Amino acid sequence: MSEPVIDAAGVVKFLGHGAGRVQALRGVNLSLAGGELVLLMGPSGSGKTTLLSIMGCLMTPSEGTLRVCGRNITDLDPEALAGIRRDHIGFVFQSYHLFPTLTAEDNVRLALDVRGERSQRKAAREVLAMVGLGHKTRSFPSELSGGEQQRVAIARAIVGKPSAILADEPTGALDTENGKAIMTLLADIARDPSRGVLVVTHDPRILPFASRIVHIEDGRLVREELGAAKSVAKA
Amino acid sequence: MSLLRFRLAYRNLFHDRLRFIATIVGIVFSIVLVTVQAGLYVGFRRMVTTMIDHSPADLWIMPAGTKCFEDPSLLDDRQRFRALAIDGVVEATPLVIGYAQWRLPSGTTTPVFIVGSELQGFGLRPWNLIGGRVEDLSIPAAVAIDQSYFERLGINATGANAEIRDQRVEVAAVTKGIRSFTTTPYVFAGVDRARAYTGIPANKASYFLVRVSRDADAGKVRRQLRESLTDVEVLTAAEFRNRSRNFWLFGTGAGAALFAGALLGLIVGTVIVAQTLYASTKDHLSEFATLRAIGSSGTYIYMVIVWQALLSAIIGFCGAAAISWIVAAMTADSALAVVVTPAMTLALFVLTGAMCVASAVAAIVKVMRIDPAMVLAR
Repeated sequence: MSEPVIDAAGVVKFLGHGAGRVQALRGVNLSLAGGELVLLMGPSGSGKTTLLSIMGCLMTPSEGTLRVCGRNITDLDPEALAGIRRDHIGFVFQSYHLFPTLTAEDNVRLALDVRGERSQRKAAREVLAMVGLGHKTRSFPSELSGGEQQRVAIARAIVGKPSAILADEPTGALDTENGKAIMTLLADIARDPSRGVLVVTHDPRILPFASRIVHIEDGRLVREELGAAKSVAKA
Repeated sequence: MSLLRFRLAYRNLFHDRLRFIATIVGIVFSIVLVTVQAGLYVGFRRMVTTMIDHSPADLWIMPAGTKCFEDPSLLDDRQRFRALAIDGVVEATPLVIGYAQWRLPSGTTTPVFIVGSELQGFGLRPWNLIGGRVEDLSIPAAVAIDQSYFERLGINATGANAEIRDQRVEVAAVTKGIRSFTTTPYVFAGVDRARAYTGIPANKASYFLVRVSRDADAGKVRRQLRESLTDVEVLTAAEFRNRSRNFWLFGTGAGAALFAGALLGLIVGTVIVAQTLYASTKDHLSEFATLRAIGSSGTYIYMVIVWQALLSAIIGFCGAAAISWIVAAMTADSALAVVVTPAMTLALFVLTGAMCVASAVAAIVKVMRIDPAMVLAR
């Protein structure tokens, strides 16, 4: 397995203030390596989303360290964290979070535009073709099905060639067929040894796509198991 | 510049058309209000100094404490002779002003403001003549009036007669666009006739208009005039212009009213645009959070909001400018014209942009507090 693209060590996270303060994570160690698709599973309130936020540099840990591509980002300010996300991380969200006023192509281009990259149109079209939407580049999100919208979101996540793709319930709003198609895409991305995919999910239908499954409860990782796709990933 | 950022801005803006229209109407209303106030101010400035602007005098000799052109006090002719005795003074001609009653042929009267000057050579003569000639004012009882006051003065053409101070006057020349902001019509006449109409003695005058020799140092001549003459002030045309403007605009409160109106317009516009941008930003908060989550810098997002503000400004300003030019055209011949100059239009464009960008502050503050992790919670 490759070096970890994201490595969380002893991560503790407190949320809220005063009487409402809760400890969401209690000393979590989790790494995501290139070439693997890791599922993070657990019940509601277990700390999955908080851990994903920290591993995605959307939050900083209260204690512990987080390294992204070898760089310790624990004490970075919000602007520097945005820079880390821009350069190394792609996100896929449950509710897609596409821009309703932009076409599929422009939604994908945004990920390059925030990096200040040129030649965005060609790259966006190539990635949309890769996710099977080469014929819908000019469609607006409202003209696309849920599965298609999630594919656009995946295209947006991968167009910048990030080291890690973090997906939050990517199949949560999709039917079985579309969910399978989306997970196939994510699993294909994870075949690249330079990229790791971390998926937070409740959905047992996607277990066959995982190379590793991590279970979290009450802010602690309680169990880890190899997934069915382990051999595929290694191959 | 990123075109995609611009596209996102204008699509955000046009997404809710009703709100967009309300914003544009607000900006147009605000800028038209500011333009009208500013235009009135410029028109007022021009109007209160129109006589000074059209006078050929290098220096004005006036009674001490004169506040403005229309402030009638009297100088003695001896002062004039003293002025003429100073090296560098080529001419010092009397100018007589004063209020009088104009009796219409119907018998009713209306106040007029007499301006009497030398009609040949150096003096303040009527301009923009559309009927008759300046030389025609040399005939006995001849006066010039502005065509805009025909109805008020009961006149319909040159050659018409009326009375001032029980003396017959004949309209021998007609001007166009010489209006008084006090709404009292100007009546031009020769200096002697003006004295007769206002009751000013023959050895008195309201001003002496001084022409300084080209070879002379105007500053030095002015110093000598001040030393030589008593109880008078000697001002350059620019100084007299400023004094008149300051008196009418700030001494009377008229300027403050105009400024207050303009300020009100600006505040209304700023609040309307700020409210719209803030609401729009709030509506698109999850999109801005997504942008932040995918790694956009704060500046990138702020620029989207600023573009929205500037787009609103440009569109709103175009509407406002069109309306303002129409207002200016419609009031051009009125008692107090709204004067819209190209420089003022440019300044208002900059002001509109600044107003809209300032309005974006609240929206930007909202975005600055955005938590990118909120995209995971939905």
